[in-house]
Amino acid sequence: MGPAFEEFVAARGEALLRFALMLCADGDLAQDLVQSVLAKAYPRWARIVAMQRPEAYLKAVLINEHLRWWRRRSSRELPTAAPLVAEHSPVTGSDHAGYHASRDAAWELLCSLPRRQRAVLVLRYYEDLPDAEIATILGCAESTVRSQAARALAVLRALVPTMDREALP
Amino acid sequence: MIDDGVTAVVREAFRRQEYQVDGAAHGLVPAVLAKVATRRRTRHAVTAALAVIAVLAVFTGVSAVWWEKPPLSVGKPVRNLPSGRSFFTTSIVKNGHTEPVAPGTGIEVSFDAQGIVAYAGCSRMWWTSARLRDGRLVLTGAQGGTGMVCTAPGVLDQESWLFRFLSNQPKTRVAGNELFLTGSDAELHLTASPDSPPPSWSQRRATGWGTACVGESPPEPSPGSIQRLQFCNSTLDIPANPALDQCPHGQIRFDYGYARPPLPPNVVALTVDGMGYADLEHTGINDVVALIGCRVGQSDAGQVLAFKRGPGGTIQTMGRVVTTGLNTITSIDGAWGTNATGGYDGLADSVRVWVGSGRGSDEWRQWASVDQGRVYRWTGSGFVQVYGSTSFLADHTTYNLTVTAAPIVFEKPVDGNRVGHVTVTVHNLGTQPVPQVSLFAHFPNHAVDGTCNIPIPRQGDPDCPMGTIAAGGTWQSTLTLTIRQSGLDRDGNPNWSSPDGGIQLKVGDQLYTELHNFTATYS
Repeated sequence: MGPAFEEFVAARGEALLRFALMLCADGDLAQDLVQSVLAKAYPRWARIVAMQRPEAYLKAVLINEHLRWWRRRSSRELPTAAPLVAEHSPVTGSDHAGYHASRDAAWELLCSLPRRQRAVLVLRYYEDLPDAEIATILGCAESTVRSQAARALAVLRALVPTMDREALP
Repeated sequence: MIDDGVTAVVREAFRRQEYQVDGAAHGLVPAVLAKVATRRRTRHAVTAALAVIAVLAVFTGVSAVWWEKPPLSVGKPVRNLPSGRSFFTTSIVKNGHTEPVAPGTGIEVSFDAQGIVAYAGCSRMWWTSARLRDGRLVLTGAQGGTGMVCTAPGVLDQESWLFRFLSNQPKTRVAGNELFLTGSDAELHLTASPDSPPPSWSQRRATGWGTACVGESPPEPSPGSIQRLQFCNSTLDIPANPALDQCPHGQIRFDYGYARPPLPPNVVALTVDGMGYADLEHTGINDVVALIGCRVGQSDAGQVLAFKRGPGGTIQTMGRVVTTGLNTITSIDGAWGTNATGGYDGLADSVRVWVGSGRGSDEWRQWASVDQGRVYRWTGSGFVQVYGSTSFLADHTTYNLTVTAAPIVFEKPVDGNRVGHVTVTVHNLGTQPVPQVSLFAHFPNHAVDGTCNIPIPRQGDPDCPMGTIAAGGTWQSTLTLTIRQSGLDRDGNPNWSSPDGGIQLKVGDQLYTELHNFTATYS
């Protein structure tokens, strides 16, 4: 017998929220996403908690739901004050280097990636999952995971200045 | 893998945003349950309305509406307990006498932010909330376990005993790295890492190293084998790594999979990155195969080593299975073949190591890495490869293939994208059929999608299985790729000569040749 639904959410809810935030790059959207997935999970909790790794299952559902949401939402106008995804636009002028030197610029670049590529990076570098497991979650081949990650990293590599990277541990 | 640091930027960028949802989980349970209740009310209301209509239609009667109210309860937090720490012992004091635990096992008690997890050599058992009351450990909340089936002598009895022991509110005292649990019939004296508590999960997640010692356990080993917790907290004899001579070697103490400092200058970490079991010496007791990773500056190297149980509970190094050279080692599967559903089987005394050719920071090299599962077996004095490819390159003396690509024809741009088609032709000029031929393509210049004309259930970079090409035969495949117009240069041409893109021709899991230079025409 696994933990009760409320106890699981109390213990792991924040981890799910953080994971959702990395996926959709918006705190409010992350909350909506997690609430929606958990609300769907609640009636089936006995079956979910009987799984070896209920949290991993919920994260996989979060990803699929996120990609589905995106398809649904992308077809209609969103009345938000701030853009959900920070647009990466060329920055001109003398402040260009300073803009990219900021660590937050890296986050904005991540936000500007296609969602599937960002999902791969989240699973690889935030969750530290092996490519085989990522492929299973996303329902694609391992080679696709590698190529998606390579593309995403190539974009970042081209836009995040070398100095900024070298300053990191 | 050599890394130019961009992955560190990615990890840090993720970490730095975590604060956005700090504290947001507090209202999560009520919000979710409210959503569930709303959905149920809606569903029930619709059901009831339909029922009313049906009943009215038949009997002109009245129906009732029933709403279910979900329960609300929240687990209590741990108080005054060593949250985030794990304690371990291999003995139990019963009636004043110290007795060893079941052979090959240990007892572990870990505290997290909410409750505790305990382990006695088989399943993990947990309580979702725990607290210290009047000096006693009181376990509340839900109790659960992993429900493993373990046949080792004494292990299930030991597990049942630990369950009863912890459930009966043992007196609890924490003194530095020592945890004392005293029950009515026994006492457990457990020890944590003497230097420091284990790195938190967030720290480990940030580095991605030492992951073999956290998370999911490897498959259950045979009785008497070295348990993961023991292995990850032992002194191991690490041979010098020929791929990176600055790596520490000799007798090295590991704590939770990390070599204990101090480490030589420039050595970032020496960690247990992978672990598996195999009965290498046919003793009925599993030996450990482990991937030991070493980071020196921005370089890294790994070696797969085998270990067995030595006298007096020590761990002996049997030898090196394989090390990185111009390749990478991505993972290991101990006892490969015991659970195989296909392919080569019956290698319970062997280890499969996944190696890849993609070493270096060059995007094409990383992306186009040729990955192979190579199987090794212990001979008594060393390891020999018994299965799998021995080279990343296909044998050009056995096969004689040519591959050509027609110019890429791009359609007119639509919505900022151009769709291009390239026909690739493969000729078998040899005198024997060539099996398992495949094409693998990658175009990095802002390519957003690609498919091949052979139906395959996936998207992304084209990976086209062509099957067997008969002697003298020809096979053609048309790859379709979509590139962003913004990825083209000033003249509207992609930089096809870039080594970052190209097409691979493979035979099985070996590379036959690559194409990198393409011409393109535009509508």
